[in-house]
Amino acid sequence: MITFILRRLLMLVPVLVGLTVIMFAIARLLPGDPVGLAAGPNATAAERAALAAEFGLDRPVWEQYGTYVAGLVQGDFATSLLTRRPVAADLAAYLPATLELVLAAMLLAVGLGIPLGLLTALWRNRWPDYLSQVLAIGAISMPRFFLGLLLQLCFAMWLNWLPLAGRLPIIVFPPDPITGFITIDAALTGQWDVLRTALLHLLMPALALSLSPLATIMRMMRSSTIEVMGQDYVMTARALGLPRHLILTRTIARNAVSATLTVIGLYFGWLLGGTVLVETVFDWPGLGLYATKAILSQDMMPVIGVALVIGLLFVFANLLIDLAYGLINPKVRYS
Amino acid sequence: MTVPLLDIRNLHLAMRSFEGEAHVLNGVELCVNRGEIWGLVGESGCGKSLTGLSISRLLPEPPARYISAEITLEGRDLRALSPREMQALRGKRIGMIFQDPTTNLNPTARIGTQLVDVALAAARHDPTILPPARSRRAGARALALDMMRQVGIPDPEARMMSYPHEFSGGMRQRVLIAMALIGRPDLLIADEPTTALDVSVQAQILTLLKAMVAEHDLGVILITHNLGVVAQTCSHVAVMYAGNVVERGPVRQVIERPAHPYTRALMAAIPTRDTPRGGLQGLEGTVPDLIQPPPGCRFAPRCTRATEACRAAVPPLTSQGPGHEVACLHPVTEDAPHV
Repeated sequence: MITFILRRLLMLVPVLVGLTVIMFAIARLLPGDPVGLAAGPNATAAERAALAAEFGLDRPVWEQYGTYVAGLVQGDFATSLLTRRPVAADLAAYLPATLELVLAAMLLAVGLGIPLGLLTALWRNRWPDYLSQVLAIGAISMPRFFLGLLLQLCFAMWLNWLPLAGRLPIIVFPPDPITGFITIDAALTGQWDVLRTALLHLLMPALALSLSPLATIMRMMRSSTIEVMGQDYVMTARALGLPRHLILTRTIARNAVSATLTVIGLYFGWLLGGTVLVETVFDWPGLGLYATKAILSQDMMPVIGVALVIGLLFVFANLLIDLAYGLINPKVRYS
Repeated sequence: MTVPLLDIRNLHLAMRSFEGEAHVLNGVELCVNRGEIWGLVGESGCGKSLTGLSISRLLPEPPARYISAEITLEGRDLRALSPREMQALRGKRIGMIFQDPTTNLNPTARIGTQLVDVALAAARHDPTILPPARSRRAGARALALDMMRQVGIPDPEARMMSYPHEFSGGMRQRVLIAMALIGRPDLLIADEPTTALDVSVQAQILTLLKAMVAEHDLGVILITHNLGVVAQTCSHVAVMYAGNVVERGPVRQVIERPAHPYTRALMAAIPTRDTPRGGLQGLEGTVPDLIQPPPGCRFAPRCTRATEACRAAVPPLTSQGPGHEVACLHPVTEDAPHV
């Protein structure tokens, strides 16, 4: 078990090397003039050269890469060309918002997708099943940013039920950061009205982010449930007179979930990447919004930093899923 | 005469398929008393397993459709029961063991949990099966341990914590037997319980099954295509062909004096030590089309003794000796050439 985890963590090394190389290459290949953008339209050639020299941008790429990696192993993600703030500090500030959003979306997707998949499998080939299949295809096909805009139009503009965007209104003080998740911090410090406001703000972006994974998880769960229901051990359970609810939970659901789990792990990474668009639409102060702003000003260090953090989280998420897989399915216990 | 434990009459079953409705069971008749082990034999697709599943109503309808069926368990009409009442009988009055021990246990639950669940389900209808204990769960656990010991699983307390994949095939089959017997059923339906096992384990399992039957005074239907297993284990045998019971009776009688040409052909197909190389006895032709079956005896197209009368109507079961019945107009009367 421990060696398994260590082996998987070792996999992080090639992932990080690959990510930095690719991101550096892309940063260099992009047409444009980041130094010119950062220095401003009225800067002289000398000022621009000084700025480039300060950030080492006049050096050959491989030397820049070496310097960056050398900083990285000490936890230094370099400095933003535009804001001159260390990227590491920015990442630490924006990461909790993104994680909060992604976890909320995941919770919705798994918490609704699995029971819905189970139900539609039990109702298969009847109208609720057909309806949910059609809706699922719609949810999977809909681009997230477009869905986000539709939700905003419907629930914020027309119905006025939910706030349009942001994490909290400007007039509300966020609770002191404990976990960095406003909802959890508010609950921990007992600020229930802040919790309520934060949840209302979280609902729409989380929904926009979760709908596609929800639909996919539901469909996966439906097909694996149907497959499990045809297994011999389900017939045996019925022949032995086990009560229906026990067959459903212990025999069918548990075996079907273990097949669905892989998709859930993949989706976690997909959601982390997907936040870029949703955070931009909902003005959610997370890594995605941070990366979008950096890309627009061709400030590549933050972009590389965000890519690295998401890559790291992806590997960790898959590790967690693999461990959960071992818990649910005893055949894959690790040695 | 007392009411038989299980009485099946006129069991006609059709299964919907892409090509049409197949008449898979065509008036099966079977009668099982306590203490009897009935071997149900026949080639693949003859309806042995479907008969077993029909008794405990485990076939989904559709695709299955019962054209007619009278199935009584100690006089109680099983076909008339509500799904809930039927559920209450499964595992308690009727125990079932299936063929493949590798696929019939839930792979994600511990052996102990699976046994305890069955015990608790059975105890809901008959709490007296649990030994006295602090709680129902503790009682169910004690019963599960006792059952594991009875079917010969060594070190049951440790083995309760194991998962099915950590058991060998023979041990898993013992678990399935324990699960089928834990609710103290009166009738046990064992569908090829030893087919997936090697010969020495098969012998152990059959011996165990016999011991269990003697101890609990069960009636058993042992579905198999192995006549050797029947001769070793059963007290009675029913031979099925294409959805019909064509011959039934005490095992000695049927094996020593098979009256139906099909039974005789089955017996002749068993190779013995004297069978020369390449001398395996086959049976000409194939099973009839069950979607449009021939009107008369379903074996007639393959039968050397068939006449016009055979093709006109299905012959009824007629007596051929004490307890020995055969559905044939021209039964064979000589003794079998070898036993």
